[in-house]
Amino acid sequence: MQKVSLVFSLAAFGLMIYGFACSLMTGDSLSFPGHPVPPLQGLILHPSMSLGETWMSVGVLLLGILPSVRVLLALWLYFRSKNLWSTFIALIVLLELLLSLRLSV
Amino acid sequence: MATVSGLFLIGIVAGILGAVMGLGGGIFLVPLLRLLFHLPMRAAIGTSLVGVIATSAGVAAFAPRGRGADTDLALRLELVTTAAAIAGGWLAGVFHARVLEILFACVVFFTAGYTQFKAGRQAKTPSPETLFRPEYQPRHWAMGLSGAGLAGMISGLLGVGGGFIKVPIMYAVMDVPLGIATATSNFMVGITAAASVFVYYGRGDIYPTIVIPTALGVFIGAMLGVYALPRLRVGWVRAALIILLLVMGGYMLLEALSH
Repeated sequence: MQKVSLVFSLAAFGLMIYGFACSLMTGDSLSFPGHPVPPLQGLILHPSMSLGETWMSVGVLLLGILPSVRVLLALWLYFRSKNLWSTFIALIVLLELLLSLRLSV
Repeated sequence: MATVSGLFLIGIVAGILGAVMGLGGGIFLVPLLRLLFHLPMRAAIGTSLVGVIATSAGVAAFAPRGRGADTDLALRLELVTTAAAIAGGWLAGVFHARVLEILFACVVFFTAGYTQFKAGRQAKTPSPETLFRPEYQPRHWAMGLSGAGLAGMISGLLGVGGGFIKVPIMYAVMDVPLGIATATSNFMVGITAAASVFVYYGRGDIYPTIVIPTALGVFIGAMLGVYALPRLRVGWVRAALIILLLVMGGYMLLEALSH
């Protein structure tokens, strides 16, 4: 769990910093508050943002899904140890998180 | 560039305090972003939610072995909290910002009062209190789950992790040691914030140029907080928690009333 958190966090912040640096170099996003992150569909299907903003948005998204990944990992660990009640609870929490993701799209 | 540095610095402060007290840091970020950077309430909340996830990630990544979260307890409470957070995230689009600010202040004052009450009760017991205790059994599940539901609703409504309710509930009501409650709350606030962050994300309240310096500061601050926690006394953590809650609640109430 600790390694997954570390790798995911570093990847997310790496993307954010890279995108932020790109934006600073091109002078795209120095205005505050700047552009909001586009909806998921817009980010994938109709990218209208600069490259820097796109990388920043992907980094924010990656950080946003990290808690879900940790719950998924807990679910797998409970399942492997045959702890069915805790597996069920982790599964429900994961489904709730997926529901929240679905509601935002 | 001054704005970026300012956001980074308040992120570090929020990350340290959030990690040490198990609060996620949102309770500090929302008022600071509003008062110092004059962000709209919902943009401040969206930024704060990402910051809360960053605190949770920082604590999870750097917590020493044996000082981490009680995952089992966290997931049981999160069953209720996450559902309530989704509902709260949607209700936030309905309420006026001033209502949210007053609600925020009321919850903060209540939590400060209850934590002080618990401290007074603890002082009457003969055994010294420690931050971490290897053996404990969570009690009063019905009250714990009710508190977790309230924390989730507040999280979705106000963009905080809800840790300022979860820590006192686990510590004062469920009899979990303060250090374990702090670590478990940090695990939970990430999940709760993730449930509502996508609602704010979908509504266009997440601004990368604000979120990134803040979240990076929070992550580094959380890392520093994790190293500081084992060196602190339980009384210091509790006193700092109460003082900060009162200050933040007061600021937010004044902000709401000055409109």
